[in-house]
Amino acid sequence: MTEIRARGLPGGWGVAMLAVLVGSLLLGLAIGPVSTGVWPIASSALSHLGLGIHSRLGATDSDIVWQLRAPRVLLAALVGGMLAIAGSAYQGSFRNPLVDPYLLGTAAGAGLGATLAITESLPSGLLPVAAFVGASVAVALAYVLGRTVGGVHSTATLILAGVTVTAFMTAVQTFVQQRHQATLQEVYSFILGGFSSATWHDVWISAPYIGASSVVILLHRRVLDVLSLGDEEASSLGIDVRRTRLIIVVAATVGTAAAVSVSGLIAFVGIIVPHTVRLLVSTSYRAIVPLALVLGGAFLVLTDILARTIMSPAELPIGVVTAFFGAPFFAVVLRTTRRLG
Amino acid sequence: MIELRDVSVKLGANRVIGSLSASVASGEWVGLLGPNGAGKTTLLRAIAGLVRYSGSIAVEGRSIAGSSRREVARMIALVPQKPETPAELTVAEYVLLGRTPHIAYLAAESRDDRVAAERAMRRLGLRDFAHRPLGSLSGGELQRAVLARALAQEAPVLLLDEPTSALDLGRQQQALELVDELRRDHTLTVVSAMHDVSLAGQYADRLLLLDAGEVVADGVATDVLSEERISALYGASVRIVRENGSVFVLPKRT
Amino acid sequence: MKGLLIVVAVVVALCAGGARAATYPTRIVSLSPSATDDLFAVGAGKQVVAVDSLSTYPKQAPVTKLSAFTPNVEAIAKYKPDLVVISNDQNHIVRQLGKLHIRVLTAPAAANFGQVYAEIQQIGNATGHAAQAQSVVKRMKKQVAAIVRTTPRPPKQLTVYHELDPTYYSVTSHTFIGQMYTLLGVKDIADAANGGSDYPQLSAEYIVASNPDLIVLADTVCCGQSWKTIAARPGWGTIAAVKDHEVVRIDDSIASQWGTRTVNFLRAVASAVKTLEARTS
Repeated sequence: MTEIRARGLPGGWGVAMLAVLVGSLLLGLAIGPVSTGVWPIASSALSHLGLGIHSRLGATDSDIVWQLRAPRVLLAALVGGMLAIAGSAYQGSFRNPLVDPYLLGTAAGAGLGATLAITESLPSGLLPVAAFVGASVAVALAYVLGRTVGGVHSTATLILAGVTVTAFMTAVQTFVQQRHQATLQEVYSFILGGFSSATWHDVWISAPYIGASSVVILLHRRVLDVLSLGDEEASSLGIDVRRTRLIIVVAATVGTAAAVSVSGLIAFVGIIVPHTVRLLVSTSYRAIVPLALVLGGAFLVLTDILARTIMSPAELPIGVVTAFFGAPFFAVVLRTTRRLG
Repeated sequence: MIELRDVSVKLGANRVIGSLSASVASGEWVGLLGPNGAGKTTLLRAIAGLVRYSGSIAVEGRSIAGSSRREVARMIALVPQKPETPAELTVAEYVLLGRTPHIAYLAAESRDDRVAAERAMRRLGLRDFAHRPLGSLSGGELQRAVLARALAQEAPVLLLDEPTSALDLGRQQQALELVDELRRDHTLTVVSAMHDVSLAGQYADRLLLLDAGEVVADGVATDVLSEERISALYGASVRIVRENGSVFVLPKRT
Repeated sequence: MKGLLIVVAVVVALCAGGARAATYPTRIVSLSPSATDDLFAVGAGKQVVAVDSLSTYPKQAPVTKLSAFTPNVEAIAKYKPDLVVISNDQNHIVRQLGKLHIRVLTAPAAANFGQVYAEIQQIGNATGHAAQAQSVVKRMKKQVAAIVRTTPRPPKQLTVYHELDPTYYSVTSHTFIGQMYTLLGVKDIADAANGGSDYPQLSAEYIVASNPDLIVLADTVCCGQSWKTIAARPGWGTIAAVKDHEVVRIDDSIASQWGTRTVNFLRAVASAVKTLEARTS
């Protein structure tokens, strides 16, 4: 008699998506305006591991691959994975599959922080910090607003508070931006997002936050399934819904803020990727959370490759590519999968 | 088992329950009766610790207000009037959710939990439905799944809010028979809020009549149910028929 | 012995000369139209291997698809440059080129003629054409002086409206362009507009009320503006410049660059002033 189990993470899908992620990382390393060839890259990678293999890559090409492409590709994977897993965390805690990680004001806050950093001519190293602080302040404001206004703690109140904070911060940011015409271009290039100037430094400063945030969310995937029964029933099953939601939202927000601070505001990933996993694999968060992390990383790496090759040498803003390719992909998945209910 | 003393509940500006005292013995089935707005659901939620109350509610001697969510969930299983049954969840997963109070916060289910869930499913004849999604079940099967989840919680107290309101006549009796069997097999203490006075009278050991948040009658069916009382409480005209120790309340057109 | 010394001296001189020549860049990529202009003017054209898509002057410049505004490091690296000239550090391009050990020369927008001359000299020095750069600068200085000298100053000061785009963005006399008007004794109507910015946005009312004697359009290429289009704007038919057809069209690129062609701009405006003066006297 087979033991009954919860659906969990289907091994086949897990392996497949990991393979896609690894494949896209390798592809990202190999593709660019300068043709470098796969074997020379591999030999260069192996030579760094000290296995005595001589690198076949010239000095400039080696710099191109390891100083330009590698951090770019890794950062795209980190940011894509983070936005997707944060999206799934928000969707689970607010029981709404149309919610994205910018819900409570993260994007607007980061945009305002970055704009202020640029218009006040702060040293460029402080830009990510300003964006991070802005995002965190926005979410904290949304939370405080939601708690003081909403008598009964409901998700609807919190979402409305987030919308309010977003609208306010966007207005302030637009005002500041318009008063400083000279820096308009710089502000826009942050807002549109992209990985064209990604450095190893960006990778090191964002990875710890993204890592910690992802771990916390992964640990909560079973709890997210319990939350799907609604606040009342989840409470009656012993979950402190308010505190759990706070923990998950804080974790997701910190990770999203870190991602946004190094990559700008990239939309679409946080809704589409978890939803795709939901349609293709399973509606249980035990599957959605880990798979969104992996698929989100692969998705953003691949869209970044497209963004920098379609109109080479010019680069499309990555937000345009995510929307342009994400939307029809989603429509196809919606059509070809049938689910009960 | 359950002791309520001077319990009051305010929702917003309204005092929904006022200074209510009652007790339920272990293994007893108490039916809550009363018109809409009498406070039945609110009282159940107060016992389950889902709403703030003043006064004291104690289960097995432990105060509800002073216990953590987990401790309360291990003592009390609440089946709401309209339970959330996400269509894609399988029966097994749904019943496993009932084990939540016994699983550590960030941990996964253990073998014991799976065994307990299987036991509950078997008891309610759902073992073969284990991998079926909830959306594919019939009304009666879904009802059994909800009860299985409550059973998997292994809590000594079972609170039912209008357990039969969505079911047809036959299913209503089946559901209540099932609850009675479970009560006997697992020595559960049951408190159910019901709008069907007759059914309540036939299955519950004792009835508590509520009106505007206060207890107007507390006793066995034969003592509590009378034509005057029903008409005062519900504003309905009925005829009471007593037969073989049971009381039947029949709506009568005047 | 003496013969040997002479041979050694010649060899040393040749090597030194050769060594000096070898330190000048031979594969220059220019991402600034103004710098491209300067590079070719000082005679470094043969050392330039690629220029950005907007560097259309001079015609023999090797135009590519490289973008000045959204530079792509890898695409630049493909040309194996030993020097890249940019006008501003867009997208942290300097840092990224640094990672590939490629030298960068930043030639930012000039705020006055002095800086234009300094940049030409800088580019000349960096490419081994210092002497040529010096003579280009000398020639430009003479031309500018001649233009200023031969431009009449009418008793009533002439006013000008310089249009950057059809939404009435203009320049004050604090900008480089504005300073050229000052050099020619022409008053810029944008100076009196309240704003605090050097590139204020004026309103149609303000422009019509100021009734400028001269209008200079710098949005002829991007936005197709001409005497015909501005005369059609409501209320603009009453402006003196429009009535007298004193509307000067400047190619957008000349108006927004600061290379050797800056003199052309000065000349065009001066000629319009001369016509105006001739008409009114």
